[in-house]
Amino acid sequence: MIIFRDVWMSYGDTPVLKNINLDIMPGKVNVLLGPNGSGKTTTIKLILGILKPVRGVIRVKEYDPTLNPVSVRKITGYVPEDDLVYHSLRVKEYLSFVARMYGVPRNKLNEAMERVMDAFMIRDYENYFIGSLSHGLKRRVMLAAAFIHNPSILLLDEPFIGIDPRIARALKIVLKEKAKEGRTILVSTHILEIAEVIADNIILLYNGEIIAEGSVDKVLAKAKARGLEDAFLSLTMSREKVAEIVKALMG
Amino acid sequence: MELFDRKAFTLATIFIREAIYASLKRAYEGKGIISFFVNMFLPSIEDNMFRYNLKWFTTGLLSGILMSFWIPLIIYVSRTFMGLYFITLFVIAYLIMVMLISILIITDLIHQVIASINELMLWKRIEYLPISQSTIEKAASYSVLIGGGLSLLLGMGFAIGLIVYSSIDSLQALIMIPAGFVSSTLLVYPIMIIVYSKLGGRAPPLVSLFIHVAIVIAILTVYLNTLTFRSVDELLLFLRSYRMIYPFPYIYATVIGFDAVSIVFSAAYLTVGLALSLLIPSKYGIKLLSPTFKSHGKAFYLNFPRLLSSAFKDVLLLLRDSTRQKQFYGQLAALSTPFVLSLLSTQSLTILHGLEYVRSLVILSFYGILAYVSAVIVSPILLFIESDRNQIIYMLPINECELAISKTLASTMLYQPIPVILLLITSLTLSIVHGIIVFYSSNAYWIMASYMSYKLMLHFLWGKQGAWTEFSLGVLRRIMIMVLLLIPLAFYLPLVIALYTLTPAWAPPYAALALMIIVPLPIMVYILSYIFRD
Repeated sequence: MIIFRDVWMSYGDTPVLKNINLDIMPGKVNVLLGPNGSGKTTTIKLILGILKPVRGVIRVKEYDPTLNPVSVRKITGYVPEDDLVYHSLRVKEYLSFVARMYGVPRNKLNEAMERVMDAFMIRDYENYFIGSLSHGLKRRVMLAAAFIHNPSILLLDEPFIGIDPRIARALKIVLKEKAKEGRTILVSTHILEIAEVIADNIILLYNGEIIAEGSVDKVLAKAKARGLEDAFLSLTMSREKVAEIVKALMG
Repeated sequence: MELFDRKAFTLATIFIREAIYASLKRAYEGKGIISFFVNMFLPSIEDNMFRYNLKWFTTGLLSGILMSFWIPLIIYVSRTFMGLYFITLFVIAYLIMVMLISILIITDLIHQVIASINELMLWKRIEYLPISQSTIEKAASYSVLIGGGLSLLLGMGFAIGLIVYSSIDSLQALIMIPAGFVSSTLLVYPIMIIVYSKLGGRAPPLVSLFIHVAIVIAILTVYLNTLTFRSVDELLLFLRSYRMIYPFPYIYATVIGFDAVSIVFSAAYLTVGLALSLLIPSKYGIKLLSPTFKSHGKAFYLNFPRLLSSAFKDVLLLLRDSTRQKQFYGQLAALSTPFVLSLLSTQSLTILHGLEYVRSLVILSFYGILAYVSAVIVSPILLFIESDRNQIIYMLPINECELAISKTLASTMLYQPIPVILLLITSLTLSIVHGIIVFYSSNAYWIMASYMSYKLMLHFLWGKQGAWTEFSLGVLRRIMIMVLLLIPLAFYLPLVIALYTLTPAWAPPYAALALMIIVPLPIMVYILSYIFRD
């Protein structure tokens, strides 16, 4: 379980998160939605202790990520939004390095690596330099790295971008299954169709504040919308603004 | 041929700003006197190229003062009993050394800027724009020149010139020493551009290795020769005969005074350097190549104790990045070669054989000091190799201290060619015990200095969102860290030397040796114990 209480975060004088109160429960797929710059990635980095809040309390299980980030990271699998991998390592080298850092026992390393390489269909690329892989394959390597130690918390920042439909489908199923096992899952995405399918709980961030939270139905009811896209737009932007953007793009 | 490519130059300023941004992410925002002082030296994303270079200039001024503030003190203290001979010899030897060292500094700075541009793949961000590859490559060449090196050396030259002027009352020093520093940059810069344009940013490290070793051997040969002159007349004759060759015209004019030859050659070096620095980058661009990864070959399996796996990861990263590899082994070779060669010279071997057994062991244990200094200078490269991939470290369960240990283990593995060569040479020329002492002390002091160096650097870098590059620490902080690490030597070395030379009644003859062996032992045991910890 991840708890945010009165959390404020800013970069210099620019506020990024304002008074966030949030309970991210295990056993559910929690989806973080919001326009660009709404504070999604910052929220995830706060959970990992990569960033420290200006004010407020965060708890990840019994740990305070500000004081004890290493304990939080041990039980967490994280896929960042950017391609954060060592390009001059081969796939197997990178995965074995990450696994050992997470403390996967040496006698179980091979088994763990085979499991994730098979799951994300990268076994054929184990001897390839990561720098030589396509964007989608790099994302798969990052997903494999996040799953390699079978973490009890999964933080996935835009995990569906760049991966092909086969892996995307598998990932959706896996996230649901992992949630059923009682793990804590937090996924940030812009792909609303996917959010609608996988989310048990939606957290909609806008300008650093939570403007809607709850099941898909609850969010739709609040926005008086039929689909998540309509709900997202009506809560974060006026129809006139959309028309303005279309007009500008059409030249 | 266009003399100056304005488009490429503008692009170069963008490269530099991007590199600063990637390293710092945001401007330093503190307030108060300390912040004002820090802001004078630390690059900021808000700097334009003038302000950015001004900061390098002020850093150069400060570094120059740090390098030479003791000259007037020594002259003042010793002039009553040493006289003109000593002062002249001393100033000339010092100037030869700093001017040749300036070549080493500028060579290294050029490597650093090219490494940063390559690691951050700055050109990738604009390759979809309608800009030709040659313009991008020329921009990389220009960015090397405006990246701070020239301003740093100019600042150093001014500071040293000022101090020499105040020490020996030579007005020429104010012009000739900065001019000497600038010409070393202007002469090295086009050569480096040609080397990188032919070989690319990821070329084999042999060329830079050769350049570094050659420079150091030249420094030592010339420097030591100046110290062996029997009279001032002999020294002046030497200077007079060689005042056509860099850096002697500048030194001759500073110490002796202007004459036609020194003026003509000083001006010629500056003019030729300036002309080449303008012409070469407009003709040759630095080859910026996306890394090509050949996928044949097998992956290593990093199934070792935790921090050892991390250390092996760093070893692989360095061995696969030829720019950083050049820097690491280039500097290491530059620092170590003269000392390794000295072990092969008949003169030093005769001296060592003639010494009492324990005393010869003490002398060899001093290689540890060389290892210590080398580690302070070379080991930071293994932090900078992370660049913007430091974010991977942040998402893994590893803390600052563990990272320092894993980096120390990696740097020690990469350092091994030097102690192994020393072990072999010493075992063959002296004895196995001598070999073991050299091997032990060079490793133990390397480990001690690397660990302390990483701890200090991570104190500034850990948790920062920007990439870890040379820009993120800034030259001043790097110099401060080096000074902090070298200060203990200033107390420790005299103690060992006193024990060695004086052998007081309360200390047995082997006390100096025991001290050399014991001091780095606790840190070494602590670090090496991580090889077995899971």
